[in-house]
Amino acid sequence: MEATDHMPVPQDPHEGFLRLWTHHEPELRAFVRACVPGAAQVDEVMQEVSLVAWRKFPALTESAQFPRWACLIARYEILMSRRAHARDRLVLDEDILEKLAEEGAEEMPLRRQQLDALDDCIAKLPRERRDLALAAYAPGASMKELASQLGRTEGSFYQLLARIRQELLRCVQRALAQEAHA
Amino acid sequence: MMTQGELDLLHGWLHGTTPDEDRPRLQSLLRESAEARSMLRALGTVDAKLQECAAADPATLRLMAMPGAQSSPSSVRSIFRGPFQWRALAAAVAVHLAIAGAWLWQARERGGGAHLAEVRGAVEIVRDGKTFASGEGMRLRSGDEVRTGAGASAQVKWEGGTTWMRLGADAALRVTTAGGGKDLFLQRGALEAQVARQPPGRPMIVRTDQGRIEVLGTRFTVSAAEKKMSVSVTSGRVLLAPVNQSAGSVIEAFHIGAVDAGGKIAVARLPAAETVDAGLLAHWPLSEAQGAIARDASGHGRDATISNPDWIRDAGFAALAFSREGVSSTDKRSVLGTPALNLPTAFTIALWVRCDSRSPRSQVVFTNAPITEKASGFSLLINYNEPGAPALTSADEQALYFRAGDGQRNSQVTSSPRVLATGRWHLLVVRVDQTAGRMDLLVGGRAVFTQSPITREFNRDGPLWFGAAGNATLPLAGTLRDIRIYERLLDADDIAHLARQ
Repeated sequence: MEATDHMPVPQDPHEGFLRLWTHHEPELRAFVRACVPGAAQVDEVMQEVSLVAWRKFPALTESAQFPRWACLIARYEILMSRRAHARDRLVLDEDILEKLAEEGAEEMPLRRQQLDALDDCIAKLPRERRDLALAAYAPGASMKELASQLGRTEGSFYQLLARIRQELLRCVQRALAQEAHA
Repeated sequence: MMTQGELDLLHGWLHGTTPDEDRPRLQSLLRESAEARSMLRALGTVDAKLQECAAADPATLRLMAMPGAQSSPSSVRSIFRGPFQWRALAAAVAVHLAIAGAWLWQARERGGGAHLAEVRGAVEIVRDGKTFASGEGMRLRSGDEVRTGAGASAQVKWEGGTTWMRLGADAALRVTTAGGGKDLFLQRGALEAQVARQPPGRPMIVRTDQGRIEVLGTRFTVSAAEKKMSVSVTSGRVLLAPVNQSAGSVIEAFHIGAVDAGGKIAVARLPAAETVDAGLLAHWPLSEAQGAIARDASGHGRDATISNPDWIRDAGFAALAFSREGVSSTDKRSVLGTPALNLPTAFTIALWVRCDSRSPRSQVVFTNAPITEKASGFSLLINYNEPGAPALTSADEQALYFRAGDGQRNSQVTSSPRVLATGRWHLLVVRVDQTAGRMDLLVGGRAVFTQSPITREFNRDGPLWFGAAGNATLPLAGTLRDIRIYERLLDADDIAHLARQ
């Protein structure tokens, strides 16, 4: 548990908000990512969440509640975003989003652990794979171009990315299992 | 235990490549299986982390300040015009920041401190109340204040070298590190810096007497004076808050926020004249009036070539005409071809067009693909005769037609006829957001049509052709000038500014 979770909200709400937001933003982003297709839509939702959280922050009394509280805001914004992008073929049905968000809010501590473990797991990836994954996730990256540079089809390039993602997840699961037994 | 096929469905959704026929299976899987939902959240976490690590843009942070009342505030005004006027005796800060590769850089900076480099002239460090001269390589401790004398300068550099700040003459900067974050207080003077993205939970804060900023987004400019601090954001967002007050504001891209000594925050859009060139990938004014090369005025060197150029002058402007009546041979027609552009997912194309005659025939304004049923790319035409459809008549003419296709499927939209009057110049703006699956077209600053969703898989790479298709077919019965391509979506203020030009 991080020190910030034990502290009361600082007297200066601005400072308190900044501290909590910057601390929990990565797991909130991960929470949103599982519900929203595409990085651009995730950014849109996160922007709204940050603004709403900022406005409502004075009403939060316990900083330990920040992740769950922010998840509630994010859940609402995810549903709003879903309505705005309802015609998008990748948008998931509302009942599925409700389940993903509800269960996701319960998993916030796990999300944090996973993100922390990912630092090491990404570092442990063979350099070639790591560079490739980071190139694929870079803003404005063209999968088609990257695939062609590697002499692959777009489809097989996506498969490679999926394998890297899966490999990272296995590494995270191993790391968390080791921690649990330590 | 999930099958590989089920895992593939989740990966496909994260990639944005789920085919329509797999959507019901994906929805049913996620609706019925808690394990699948848990897996999606875990894979989404990996995805979000990779995204964060890969957000690697070069970063620059530029801070400039006026050392005293007597030194010209005019140079500050020249940077920050508009609603904010500057007082004398100021420090002015201009920060230009782009977030850089967080994770790799973070690994290098972890545990690393700052040191002095490129020291010129008299530079002092104030540490624990004692002042002493310093030199290159000196390591800084949290709480140190770096002071530069008249004519002196020094660089504060963090481990890894991707983050540095160069202090100008007569400046004072206190450097504090707390909890891994960086807290910088510019008391006076000027500094210019380059900053990489700060690790999550370890923010960089830049303070002055009046306020502070925290990076929320990517690229911004900050200025501070003795009685006012302001933030000028060119992309992304920053949070601006007065010192010792709870109120604050998120300042969005292309906006300037200022906090005064009373803690009041004012926000205004940056003048469009200052932002309209931001994000230009290429700009061909077509003012050469001769020759077969259209120079790129954006500074990126993307000169375009013109086959059979037909330069004209109209209303004091040089322009390029494409309507050579009676020229049937394609090798004698005019067409402007750009170098390969590799457009980003969100882009804007703006140009001025004058239609020289009314015609129901298909005419290319621009395209990056052959005008065929199964081409991958995008095109804007005036009129379009669908293969097999009845020929267009005069009642249909002068309609704009936009199409984006992935080689199999097309998204297309046609405006009402006669949106382009002949013999007049029109500003035509096409904004495409491929990720959001949306495009819109404006003529003279007014929306003609919006299409959403459009196919997300069309090709954005390769050269663009203006005035005709790449093989010089479907020539434009008109004239073009001032073609601009942006790696962003222009907003209404930018477009209004272009329309006034």
